Amino acid sequence: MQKQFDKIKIGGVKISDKLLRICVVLPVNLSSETSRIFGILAEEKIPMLFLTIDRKGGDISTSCCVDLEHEDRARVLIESDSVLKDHARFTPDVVLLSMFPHQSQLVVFGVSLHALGKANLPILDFSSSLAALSFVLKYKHLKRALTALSEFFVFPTDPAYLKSAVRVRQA
Amino acid sequence: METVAVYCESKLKTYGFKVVSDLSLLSWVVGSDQITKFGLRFQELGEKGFRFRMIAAHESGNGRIKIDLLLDRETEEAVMDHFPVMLDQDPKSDETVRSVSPVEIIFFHGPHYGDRYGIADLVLSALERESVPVILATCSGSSIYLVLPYQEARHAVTILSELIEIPREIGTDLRDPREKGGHDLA
Repeated sequence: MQKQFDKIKIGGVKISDKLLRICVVLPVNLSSETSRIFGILAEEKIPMLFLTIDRKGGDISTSCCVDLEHEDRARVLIESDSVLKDHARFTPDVVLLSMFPHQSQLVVFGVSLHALGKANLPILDFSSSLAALSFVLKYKHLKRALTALSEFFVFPTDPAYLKSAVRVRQA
Repeated sequence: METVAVYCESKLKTYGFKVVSDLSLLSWVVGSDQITKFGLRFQELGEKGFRFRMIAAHESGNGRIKIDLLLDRETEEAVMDHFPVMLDQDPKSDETVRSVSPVEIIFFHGPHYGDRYGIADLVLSALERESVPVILATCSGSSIYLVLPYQEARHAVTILSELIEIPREIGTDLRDPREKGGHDLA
């Protein structure tokens, strides 16, 4: 039976542009190669907007998101890497949806999970950070996700786009 | 008009760097038909006042997701007790809670981490070279979280201090978890 409660007021929502999700699952005998993908992306000066690394059984699963503009280059490099080519999977057209603040409250996470589960929307990745809860979803699901979440949350009327007005040029 | 600001880093700059010990990492693999129910259970725990240190999740094949919840070790039992009541008692199901405890976490945040390249490579490659086992790591927004086995945080801090400008006062609580539990020094 669905719990009845007042909608939760959320301070802010951020939505990214379309991203490329790269998922690498390495078996335990290749665990020392976990950072390999980071070196490839760093050498190409490709920032990662999101990253999770997790051990599941004996496998190490790395999932990261980069701007979609880097897709061609990232695919070429990873698919030509002797270690990564057999263990990498690419999902273009994903989006990073962040809600804040969470205030370390399980209620906010629980309600988000409930909302997205109820709408039958697959969550590709998720992470909390200092203030935000960030979901990686398929871009085509974004509108439905916002509709599903708005059933339980009060959003500000002007969601901010993740690409900031500050451009970082790194040398 | 454009404003340009330039700064140089001899070491990676951070705005905050904290270490917390005496934590538990709980994990579930949840089927797509269970996600709504899990959401409600987390909501109930939240309404009872339970808080998290970190949460992460990722797809686990066949429509399932793996959820990792990091919380204070003293709350582990109460949280775990909350779940068996609602789980279907299917012996084939891997939707049971698993625990790694005690664990420690290092987390820090800094300027424009999400806009810059090379940060994860700097941190994670260094830990990998020194054989520090990272159980779980996330980089989201400008924050980096590293979940480590018991008594590994000190070693990791030593390694990272060569690469990262760690503020002089680090929030630390690296007590032996067999003593009364640690807390985050804000």
